[in-house]
Amino acid sequence: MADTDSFLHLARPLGPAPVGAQPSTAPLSVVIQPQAIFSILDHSLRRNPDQERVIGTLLGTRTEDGTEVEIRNCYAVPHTETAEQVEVDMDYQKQMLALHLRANPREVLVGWYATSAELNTFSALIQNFYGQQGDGTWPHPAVHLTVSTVPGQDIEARTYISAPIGVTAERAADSCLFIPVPYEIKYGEAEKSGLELISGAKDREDRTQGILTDIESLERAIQHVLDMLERVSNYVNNVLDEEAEPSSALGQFLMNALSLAPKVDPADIERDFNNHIQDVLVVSYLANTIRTQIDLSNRLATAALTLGTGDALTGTGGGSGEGGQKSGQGERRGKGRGGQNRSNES
Amino acid sequence: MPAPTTTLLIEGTFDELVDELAQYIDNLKKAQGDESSDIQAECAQLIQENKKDDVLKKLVTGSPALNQAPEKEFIAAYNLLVHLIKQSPNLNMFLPRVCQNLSSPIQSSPSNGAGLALSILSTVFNTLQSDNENRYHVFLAILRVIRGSSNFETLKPQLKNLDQWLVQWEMDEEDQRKLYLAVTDVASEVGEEEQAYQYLIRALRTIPSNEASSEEARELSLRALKSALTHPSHYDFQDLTDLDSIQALRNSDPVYFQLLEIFNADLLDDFNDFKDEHDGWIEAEGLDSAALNRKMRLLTLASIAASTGQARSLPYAHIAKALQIPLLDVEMWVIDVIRAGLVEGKLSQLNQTFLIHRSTYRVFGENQWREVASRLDMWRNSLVGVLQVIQNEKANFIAQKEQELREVDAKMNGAGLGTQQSYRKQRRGDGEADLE
Repeated sequence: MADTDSFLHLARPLGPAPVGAQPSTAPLSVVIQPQAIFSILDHSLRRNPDQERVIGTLLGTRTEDGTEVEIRNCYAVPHTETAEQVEVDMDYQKQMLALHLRANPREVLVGWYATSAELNTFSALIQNFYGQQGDGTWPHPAVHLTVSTVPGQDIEARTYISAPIGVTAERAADSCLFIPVPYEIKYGEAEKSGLELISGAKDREDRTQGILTDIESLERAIQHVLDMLERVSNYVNNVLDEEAEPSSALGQFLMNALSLAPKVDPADIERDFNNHIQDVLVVSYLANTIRTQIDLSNRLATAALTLGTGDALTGTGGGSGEGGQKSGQGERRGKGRGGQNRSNES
Repeated sequence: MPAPTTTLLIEGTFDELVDELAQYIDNLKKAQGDESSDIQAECAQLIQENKKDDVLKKLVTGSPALNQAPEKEFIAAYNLLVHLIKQSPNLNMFLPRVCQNLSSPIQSSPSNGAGLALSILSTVFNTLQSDNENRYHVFLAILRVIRGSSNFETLKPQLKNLDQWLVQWEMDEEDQRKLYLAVTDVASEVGEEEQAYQYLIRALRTIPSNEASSEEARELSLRALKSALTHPSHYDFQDLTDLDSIQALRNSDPVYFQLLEIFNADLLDDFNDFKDEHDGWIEAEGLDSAALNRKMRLLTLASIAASTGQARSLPYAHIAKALQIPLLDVEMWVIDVIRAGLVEGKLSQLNQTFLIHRSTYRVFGENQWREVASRLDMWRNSLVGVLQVIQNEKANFIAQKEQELREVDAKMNGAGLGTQQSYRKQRRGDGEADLE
């Protein structure tokens, strides 16, 4: 997501403070979980064709001092917008919020989203609705998240909080100042690699992508590292050929990164490796011996069954230790006899 | 897609809003006993004559009264004023005045005054186009407020955009220097020495090479040099020696320059020679001799660690000799130098040696680049090997799979035959057994 905006966020507007605490103007930051963005995009895809943008409620958590807001979840709220007026289904919003709070009381109302980067006076109205006392986020500022969803362009997200504007109460009611605040979209390693895999399908005709096996992803990772190494060594070679400007900070950094491998003697490695391989060999030898033993006894047991002398049959039928022994004896006998017979015959 | 520039959303015409604000300012003034103020009427008159700029001038002149507005209304009222003056084509005329008003203390809110002022100033800053050079002046005003309230923490995360802004504003070098120095002052006042030093260096970089020996450049360079020398955790002097203005010190202040050279590349012995040569100079210049000694020892240890080459180990005795310390203290010094981040490694008490994993090169020359290149090559070669092995194994695996498939097929075909044979054998065996 492109983030080329330059803005300064130094202080949030002075809000009413909870009892016993000093009101503070400490700046605010927003963390967005990707699942919220996904459901916003999904909502945007399912909107009516005549609707410019759709809105919804953001749920999440807030730190105790209110300086960090984390957006975790969201749901759509139906609304209609015409040139003159905007209508938001407030009952729906209230019911949904109550249901969500019952399901997950820790995720509270933090603000609202709109699927267009534009801000207008309706935004101000809705913002004031979400930030109001009672049903809104009061005493904390409501967070407004805009996600641009113009097809074919990069998705851009922005977050705002609001400050009042105007010196009379009527004026302040339907207007506000949006203050841009910094945000961060946080996703984990697992989510990232999953998304990478899914996005691999977008360049293919059939829009499918097979799941990579471990070995394939290892191969791919090595390729990736090799590409990066190629780039770095190109730079280093350029420096050596005096084609690129050497940066000692960069060199120092590379050197540090490259010397992260601990210093070990090759002789030590060989010795340790040999010790280890001997252990492994002993283990595998023992394992083989045991396997042979098991194989052998299995074969002996089955052989008794097929030969089927009287006492061997009863032995296996009983299944007791004694019987097993007997059957073993029977087998041996049987086999021995068979062998004798065959040798006699031949 | 650029960010929306209008973040001030208010309904109502210019005239109505002016009227409201004027009335508000009048009320504030009257509350303080200034009965004569009648901006509202004057503004109304000017609006009749359609002189918007004059109206705004009246409002801005009256705006110091806003500093007395109650906390809760302050932001709302000021935002309105910002909104109004933004309508004017002559923005430049009003902004300095507004910034000045905001930089002065806000009487109504002693504890949150700075926060309020900062919030308005950042609104002004944000509503200006990102390449508008007025942003520079607003930013300076912000720095003033921050300095007055020692609020550097809030600014710190935002400073990373500074370079980009300066490019956008197309500031000349003088103004850039002024800005960097302002940041330096703010940072050093709250004890952020490292940040202060970084911005001082940047300020020095803005000095063009033909002015490198000017008096101003000399003062700044000396200041940077001194703070680098005495800073307890700054060990990299290469960025300093690269600067033209520092090189100019070679002529104006040769002793300082000599000291810098020693700290940049030389060892403790050279430093001691320097002290003998310029006896009492360090104390006379107000530099902390003990701190310098300590720093020099750490740097010396880093140097000898870097010069061990492939062996990558240092006997204790060698360290003790180079640092001129008793053998017993070696481990303490090594731990210090590891903590300073100059070297990484292990102490082997049994062998009385220091095994080095990584060491910082004080001068990063061609040899070091070669070393980097060779290590990169080594890494790449081994990775290529690993990749080869993986690919081979994969090919083997596939081949094996095919082989197995073929075997299964073959078994399926020959299955009937095979079982019959064995069955026959079995029958024969049974028959024999019966015969017996």
